[in-house]
Amino acid sequence: MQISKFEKIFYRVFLVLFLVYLLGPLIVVMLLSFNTSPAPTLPMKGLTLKWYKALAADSLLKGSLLNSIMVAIAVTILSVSIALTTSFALVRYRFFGQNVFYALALSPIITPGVILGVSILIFLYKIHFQPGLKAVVLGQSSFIISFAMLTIMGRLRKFDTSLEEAAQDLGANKAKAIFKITIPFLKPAIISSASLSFLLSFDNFNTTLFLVGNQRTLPIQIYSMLRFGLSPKINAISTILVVVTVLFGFLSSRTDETKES
Amino acid sequence: MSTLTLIKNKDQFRRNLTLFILLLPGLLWILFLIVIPQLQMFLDSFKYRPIYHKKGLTLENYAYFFTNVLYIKIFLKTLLVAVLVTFVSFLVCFPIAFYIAKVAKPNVARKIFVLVIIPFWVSELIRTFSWMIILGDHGVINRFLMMLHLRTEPITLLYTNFSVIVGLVYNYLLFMILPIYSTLEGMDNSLMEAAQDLGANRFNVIRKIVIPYSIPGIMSGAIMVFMLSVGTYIAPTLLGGTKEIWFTELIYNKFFKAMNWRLGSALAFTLLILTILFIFAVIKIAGLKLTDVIEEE
Repeated sequence: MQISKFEKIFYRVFLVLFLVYLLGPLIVVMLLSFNTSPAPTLPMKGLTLKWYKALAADSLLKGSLLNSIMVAIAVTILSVSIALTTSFALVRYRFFGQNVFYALALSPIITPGVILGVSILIFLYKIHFQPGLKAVVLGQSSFIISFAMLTIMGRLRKFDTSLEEAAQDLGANKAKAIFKITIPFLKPAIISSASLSFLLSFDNFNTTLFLVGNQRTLPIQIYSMLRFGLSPKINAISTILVVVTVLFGFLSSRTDETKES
Repeated sequence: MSTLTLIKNKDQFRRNLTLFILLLPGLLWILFLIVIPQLQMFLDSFKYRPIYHKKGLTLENYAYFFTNVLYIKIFLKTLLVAVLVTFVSFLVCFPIAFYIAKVAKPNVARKIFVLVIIPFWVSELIRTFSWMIILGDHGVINRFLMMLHLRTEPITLLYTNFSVIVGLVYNYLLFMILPIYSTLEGMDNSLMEAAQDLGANRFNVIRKIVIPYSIPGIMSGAIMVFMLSVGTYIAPTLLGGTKEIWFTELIYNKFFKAMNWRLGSALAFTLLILTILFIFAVIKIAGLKLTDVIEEE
């Protein structure tokens, strides 16, 4: 295919600008976490680790981190299990109302998070269920299950059912065939849907905001710090989160690739 | 009854029982976390505020909303800015998606792809925060301009509609890149080559061949970017400041500051309808199927 010199230069320049736009702000955030000045702006005055030490002393922040981890674990377990059974029902069976069921199961993906939060808040209030971390688990799961389901269904559709039948012909019962053959086949999808669920839950703000009551998850805590004013402490916690999530992302995409191949 | 039909009935029964057990968790999820809450919200939006002690249904919440100039202004502004964000995302993302899918060599493309995806592993809140630092009065851009003596006074960038647009495009552009990339990936290069052989220049090849081909991807991307933009609370409140209220902020205030849940429900339901209308308009225009659009992501 013919590409003119002009077009090539256009793409190069556009790409470089784009990558600066994309990565620049995050790099600045991380750099400024080591800056001595309490105002987070460039140029840097000197290097320090004091903002990281300040984090370690912040019990509110540590408490909210713990809450976020607990919520994310609960959401991951709930979402992956429901996604797994629902995927089996949708891929392996034909039943009345299946298309409506499938559309409803996907709908949370295109529903604004605020709407999910508000509607679940109203419903929980009706049944006298208090806002708090448990409500957050339910609210986040309402859409995270959909994402987990898409991941698992994608792989389950590729499964050759004759393998299960072969196992049954060799004397295994249906349940044993599924646990020995199908579940191991689904393992990569289960792992990636679990890491996706954990990440989506850990980062969630829009739905959580309406359901968290007077408790705090990490994003809620960081948000209220931001509303209070900028501080390099926020840069420090952001830097830690960036490093951890990026490592986490790399690891999970690595395992995806090796498992796929 | 013959033994054969008995066995068949027993098999049928077992199949249905297994299906029921498999479906039950999903049914509970869809009923209690999606359908019933949203119906409840819909119903509540037609009820009087509890302090009035009035029973029956009313349109007063909607009447209040639609006759309140300020609310209508906020609603229209949110809609307009979100449409703008969607369009800007398309302009920024299309060349990148095209470059990765069709121009760059496979090993270069893979590296760029990783660089594009990495920022989206980071939470939306932190990505928004990074723009507060860049755009603030004493932020990186203003410091830079003043250091170069291009300005003596800072330019107000933060807490404007501009900063909201920059932040929203930044937060959601991956949702535009991915679907465009995946449709282009499936496009046969010979289509472009044939058009070029027939004398079309590059610009026309892109306009007449590539863009029409990638419509399904563009539309999936538009739906996601629009929905995420109208429905978020983070970037509009952190980058928009107190002067520029976003519709979700209005909803939040009705629930947690004015404690008027009925009006809040009416606002939230209107937002839901707006999203649904947008999605159906896009799907109609492009002639797509809803489930395909979602699976595209």
